[in-house]
Amino acid sequence: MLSSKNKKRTLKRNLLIFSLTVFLLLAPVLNAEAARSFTDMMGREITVPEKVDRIVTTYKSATQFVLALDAGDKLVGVSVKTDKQPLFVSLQPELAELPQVGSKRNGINLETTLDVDPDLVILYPHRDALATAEKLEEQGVSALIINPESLSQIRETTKLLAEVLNKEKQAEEVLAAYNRIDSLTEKTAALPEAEKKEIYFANSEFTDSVGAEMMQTALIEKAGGINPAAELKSGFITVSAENILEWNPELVIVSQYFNGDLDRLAQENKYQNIKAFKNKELYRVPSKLEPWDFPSPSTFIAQLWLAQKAYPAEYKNLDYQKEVNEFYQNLYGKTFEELGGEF
Amino acid sequence: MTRITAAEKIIITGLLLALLIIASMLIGNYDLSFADLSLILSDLFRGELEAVKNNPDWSVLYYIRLPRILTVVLVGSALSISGAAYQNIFRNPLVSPDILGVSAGAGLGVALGLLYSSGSILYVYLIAFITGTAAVALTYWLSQLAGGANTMFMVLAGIVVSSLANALISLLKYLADPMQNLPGIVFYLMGGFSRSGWQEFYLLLPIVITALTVILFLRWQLNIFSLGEKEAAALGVDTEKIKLIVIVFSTIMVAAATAAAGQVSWIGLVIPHIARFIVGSKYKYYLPASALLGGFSLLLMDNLARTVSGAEIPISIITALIGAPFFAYLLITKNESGWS
Repeated sequence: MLSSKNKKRTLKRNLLIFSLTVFLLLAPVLNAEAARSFTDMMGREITVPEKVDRIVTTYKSATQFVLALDAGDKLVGVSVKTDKQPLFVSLQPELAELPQVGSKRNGINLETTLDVDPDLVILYPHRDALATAEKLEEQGVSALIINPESLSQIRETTKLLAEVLNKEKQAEEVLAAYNRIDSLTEKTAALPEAEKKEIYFANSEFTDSVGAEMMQTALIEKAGGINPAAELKSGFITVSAENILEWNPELVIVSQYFNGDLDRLAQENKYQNIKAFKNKELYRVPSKLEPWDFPSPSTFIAQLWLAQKAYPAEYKNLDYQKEVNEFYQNLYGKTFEELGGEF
Repeated sequence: MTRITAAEKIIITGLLLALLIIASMLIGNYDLSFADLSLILSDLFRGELEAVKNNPDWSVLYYIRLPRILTVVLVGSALSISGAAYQNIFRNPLVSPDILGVSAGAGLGVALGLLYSSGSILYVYLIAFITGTAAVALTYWLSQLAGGANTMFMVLAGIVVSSLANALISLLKYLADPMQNLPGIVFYLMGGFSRSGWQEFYLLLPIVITALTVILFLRWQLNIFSLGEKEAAALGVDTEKIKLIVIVFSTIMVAAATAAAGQVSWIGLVIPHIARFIVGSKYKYYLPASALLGGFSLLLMDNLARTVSGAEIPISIITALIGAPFFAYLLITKNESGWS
């Protein structure tokens, strides 16, 4: 017979063994719970490991968000032509050496992607991404689809990605930089309709424009202008020269990637009666470092650029160059000029 | 050369295809050393399936590389068989699956499916089938209205239907949401195998086997067809019926291939020529040779597409870059189309 003391000790020991066993059995489950759940921007439920240390980005914008959130050191694979992006190379030269897994346009090479053993792949938002994400998840790799196409979606992307990458603090700085621009351009955004200038935006060709619900239209509106093409339809649109004559915009801006020569455009006979042409108010959206008219964390700065171009009198007290430099400092840790940008 | 019979040539082509499939398993951008492979093989051999299953190398081989390779082979075969069948039926060496509006029709279905389905890829296949078949039915009906059994009318009707389908694709692209749907449609139609998995393979396999069997079953009538439609009719072949059956089954194959891989150009035109050059125009040999050669060539090209750079090169660029000059070479040097 065991004494009661012995019995107690056995019980204690058994209890210890029992709890250890339970712990060991549960450990993998607990670990699985450590993986976090998110809803990505295509509405997919995804799980992401607690720590994300190896990231692959599949298009330019995705890479730029990772850089803005100060997680560039975690990139192990990037999209094609990353080595040709002045901003990326200037900010983090090693990016040029990383394996290039594909592009938004042609999709990604799954084997190249898996070969770098990523924790997370950030995908472009079009329909093909759904099938690609499924294949990646089948291989145990988390796939996150981001969709930063409008100004509000750029904010949303910043927040979502910050949570996924555990970079909430950096995100606060980035969001504060966006808000700073909004507060600077508030006064012209609030102009009465009658005082707002009509601003025509041309994409790669002069008659390629954008309609309603486009980021470029939102930029024009937040800078205090009106995009006359927005009345036609949403999305990318091709307009006729007659449309532009009819609108008679006071300002013309063209994409950084406009194909033509701005000086030659300014000479074209058929456009000479347009106010913007008469007053020589034709501008190319900056910058050579990176195009501000493409959706990215930097896009907000285009709003400030446009506002001070359209309403110079309203912004005569603004130190534009200082604001741009600070904006870049807050996003990427270096000023616009330090990164090689030119005004 | 003359000592080797057509049947032996087909067996050799089959062996070469098998060798290429094995070789293709060993190349890819996911780095697999010989040691990794022998580990998988020895685990498989010893029946340690759990170990194999948990091996990430295996899952890349089994879920990504293998189904892609097999899908490519099937698509190459399907396009070549239908190309061969079309060329024979129309007695025109320049006829390809695109000519009757099948490719454009199936492409329209893909665009429709991507726009209006809630994400299910199978749904996209189904619509591509329907519109591809509808396109060829429309072509057939138009040609009947215009001039009856005349092949020329059918080719012309095919051009009409193709233009119509392409215009509708453009309209859909114009209406599509520029951020998500438009790039998706453009991407899908451009063609490629980057996402091919077992789903695509299992969709294609029964279709290709059925169609190949049916067309091979009609080889006798088709042989006579190559003499000319009138002559075939005089010999007691129900030319209209044979024509219809062959067109329907070829169409189903093209529609399935388009749904699985987008529009892959040139294969359906060039491969049957090479096959005829190698084994002659006897249907019994010519058709299997087309199937094997089609699979072989497309696999070779897709291997380039997935390994030349880290990213994917669109397959149509490669098929056109290799196919077009090769076809020009055939036109210039070998005035031997088999159609006399």
